[in-house]
Amino acid sequence: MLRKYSHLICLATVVGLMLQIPPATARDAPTRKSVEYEIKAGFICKFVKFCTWPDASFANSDAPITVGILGFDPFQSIIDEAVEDLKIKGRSFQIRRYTPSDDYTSCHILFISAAEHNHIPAIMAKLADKPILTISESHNFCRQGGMINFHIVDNKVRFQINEKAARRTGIEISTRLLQIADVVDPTR
Amino acid sequence: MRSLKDIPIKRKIVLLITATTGLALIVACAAFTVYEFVTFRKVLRDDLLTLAEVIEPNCTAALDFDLPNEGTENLAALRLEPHIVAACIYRQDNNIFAAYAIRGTSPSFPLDPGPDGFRVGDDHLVVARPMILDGKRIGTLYLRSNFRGLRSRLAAYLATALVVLVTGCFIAFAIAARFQRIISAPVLNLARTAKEISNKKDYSLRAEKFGQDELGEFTDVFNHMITQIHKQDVELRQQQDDLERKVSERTEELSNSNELLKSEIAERRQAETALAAEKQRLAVTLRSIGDGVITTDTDGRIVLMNHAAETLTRWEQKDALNRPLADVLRLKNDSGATLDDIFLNTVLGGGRAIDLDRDETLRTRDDNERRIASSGAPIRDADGRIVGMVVTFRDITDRQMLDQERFKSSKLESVGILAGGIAHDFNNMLTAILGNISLVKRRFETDDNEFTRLAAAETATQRARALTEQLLTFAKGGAPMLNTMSIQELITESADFILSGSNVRVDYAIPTDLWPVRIDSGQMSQVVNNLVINAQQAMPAGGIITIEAENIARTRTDVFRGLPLDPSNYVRVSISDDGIGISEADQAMIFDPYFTTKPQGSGLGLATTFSILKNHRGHVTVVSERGKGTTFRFFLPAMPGAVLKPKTEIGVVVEGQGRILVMDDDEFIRDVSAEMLTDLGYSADMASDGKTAIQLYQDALAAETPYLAVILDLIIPGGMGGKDVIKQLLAIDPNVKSIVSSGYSHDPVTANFQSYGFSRVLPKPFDIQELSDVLNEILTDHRVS
Repeated sequence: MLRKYSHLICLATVVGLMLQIPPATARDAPTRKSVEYEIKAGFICKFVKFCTWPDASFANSDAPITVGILGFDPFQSIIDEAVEDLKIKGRSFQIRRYTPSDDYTSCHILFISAAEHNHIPAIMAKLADKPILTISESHNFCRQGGMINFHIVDNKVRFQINEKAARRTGIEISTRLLQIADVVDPTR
Repeated sequence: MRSLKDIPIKRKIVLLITATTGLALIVACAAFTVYEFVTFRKVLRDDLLTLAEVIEPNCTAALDFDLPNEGTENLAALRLEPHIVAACIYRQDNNIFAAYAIRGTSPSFPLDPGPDGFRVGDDHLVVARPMILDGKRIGTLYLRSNFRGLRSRLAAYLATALVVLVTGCFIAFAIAARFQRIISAPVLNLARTAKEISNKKDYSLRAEKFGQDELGEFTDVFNHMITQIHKQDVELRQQQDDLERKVSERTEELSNSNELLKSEIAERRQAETALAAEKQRLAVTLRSIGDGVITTDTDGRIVLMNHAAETLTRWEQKDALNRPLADVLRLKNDSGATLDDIFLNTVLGGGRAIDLDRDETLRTRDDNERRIASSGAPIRDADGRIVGMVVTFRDITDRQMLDQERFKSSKLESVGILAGGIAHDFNNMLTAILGNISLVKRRFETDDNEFTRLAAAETATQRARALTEQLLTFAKGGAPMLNTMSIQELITESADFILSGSNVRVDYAIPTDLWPVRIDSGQMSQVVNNLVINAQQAMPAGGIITIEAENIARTRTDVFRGLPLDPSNYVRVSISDDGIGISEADQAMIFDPYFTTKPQGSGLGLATTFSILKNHRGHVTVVSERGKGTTFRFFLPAMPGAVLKPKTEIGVVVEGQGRILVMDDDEFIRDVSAEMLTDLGYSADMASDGKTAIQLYQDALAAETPYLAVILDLIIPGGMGGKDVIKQLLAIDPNVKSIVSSGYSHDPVTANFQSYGFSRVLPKPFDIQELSDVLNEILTDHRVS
């Protein structure tokens, strides 16, 4: 019986996997891209659970976590919706959007738009080892000193982590997170 | 199999030590194993919890980021722990996020992880650990371990325990086998010594002592005990000898007393037998007593009744027992008053004996009435206390009848004595009258007028004689002159003579084999005459008289019942008529003298009948019913088988000659006797008293002119009577022919004249014919002889 329906089970699995990043349809409001960014927004929030900032990074224990978006904003309102009423480690979130000309060095997490990938070294220099968790979605980001880089593997959102880069700035990333990430060590 | 108790002590010790050791080791091993098991389980639990604690953080991120592959990879690390057979991660909604199974199995998981923590399943251990991130539960880690570790460890422990047990037991056995002797040797020695003493009865033997322990002490005590026993044995023997001697003495005494006892028992038995015999005798006596005997207790309740009492009351003793006396002995007196409590009140209440008048009537159980005479008396014990009462009673219904008869007889007798006295003198006068008439009559021819007148006078005199005869029948001593004869002719002659020419017929029913009877024919003719005349007069309009006769053997007591008759053979003659009958009241008096219901009756007929039958040792009864008729029955003593004398014929007047001596105190008789004798041709001499008569006879004898015969009056007032005279005459002349003549024809002497020496009897009054007959007879006899 199992054998009889085995092909059906396979099909269901494929469908299930597909659903995680469902293909965009004309009818659906959320596009495939918007689903991808919903996931990425969630991941960004979840990273907070596994990362520890130096105490000096926050004015007090209730101070919110500032998430900055540099350059083109692929999330649009998705991330705002994601952080609404969200509290992790007792802190709420606030989203800030920056242009490359803005001072984006006073946030706790900085999402660097892929559009800025040519300017990464400059941005890294500007940040100058400040305890800001840098996240991007461009190839070689971690090798360029970035901390977490989203990439798509097997049609799933995965991420790379440059743990050393984080530790240099005083941000501790939990090994639990590292276990599920692709750890990149640019020194090697 | 021998029981543990019976195996030798040596083995017992070894077995005991080995078993004890083995048991201790088993307990120790078991305890150790249990302890290890419990401990190991705890270890196992801790291991499992630790493992979960280690695994859980590694999986948290994967779960949180929803990366099942990473989760699965993390769980795969569990293959380093071979006892973990399955593991998985549940999401909060209990969907399985990632799973792991030991190689070769496809595990199944419960729908939900169940409660957090450690738990033991059927064949596995489970840990469910919550997965917490940032203070929030995001899922559950589920680990399942099998018992393999526990089991292998347990096996190792058991093997070790077994080795320890075997070794321990072996060592214990070796030690015990070697050292058991320390205990068993003294014991065995003691046992052997005891056995030896017991077998040989040698109390000088002593047990060997091995040491100063308890056994040593025991040995000492044993030896001491043997010494004691030895001493006691000696004493016991002495005592036994003593005892045996005493027993033999006592036995002898016992045997003596036993003998005594035996003889006592024999005596007692004899006494008991005598008592039983006495009891038996008493019972027989009581039963044999004709009178009814009833005894009661002090309440008047019946305790005993004898057979006669049962018969009289018609109560059986078994029914009457314990009833009040008055229930059984229901008495009334003639005035109708009940006498129920008379015994109770007088005898038990008053303590007096009582003899009731003979006018009680007993009502029997079947409601018949009996006349009884009863008496009661208290029964007293040795101290004079009343313990009961005895009542005796007898049936006097029959005896009362007898008494009435006797009373009747005595009445007749007293009349008879009076009558006898008159009759004697009367007969003397009649003799003179009759003699003279008969003399004168001879002088006339029968067709002479004088003859007719004289004959009438003679008839009247004859009737007077018959009357006198009847009176004399009552006289005391008026014994009949009995001859043995058949009564048949007498009956038929008398009845036919009386009834000839009358309107009454007579039917006879007389058997030819009727027994002869001893009767006075003259008297018996009177009886038959009286009864037949009675019957005839009872039937004025004529009728039938039935005369029956039958033999009544002495065994027919039913016929004699209540009659004053001796048990003997009788002839019973019944004379029945179908006439007017006799009233019941009259029946009681018909045999009384001078009682008559007839205008011309003398009242002596039935009285004479009664008296005659009585003098014949017979009896007469009457049964009558008004309007139906009357039956008289009389009984006469019978002489079955007696030979009858032929009847003598009465001849005509025969004249004779010779001297005749007549002795009589009555001058008229002497005168008429002399005339009649002279007329007959005899020469007669007269004597007025005995002396003269004897003198005359002697003189005649001496003169050789002896008297042919002497006629002697039986009674000479104030002088020697015929009875004495004949004695003297016989002494003078043994061949004297004598005739006794008496007005008392019923005198015993006249009835048995021959035994007094007389040849003939000549009853007064007599006429010339009778005188001629008797003289002719005596002289004919004389001539013949």
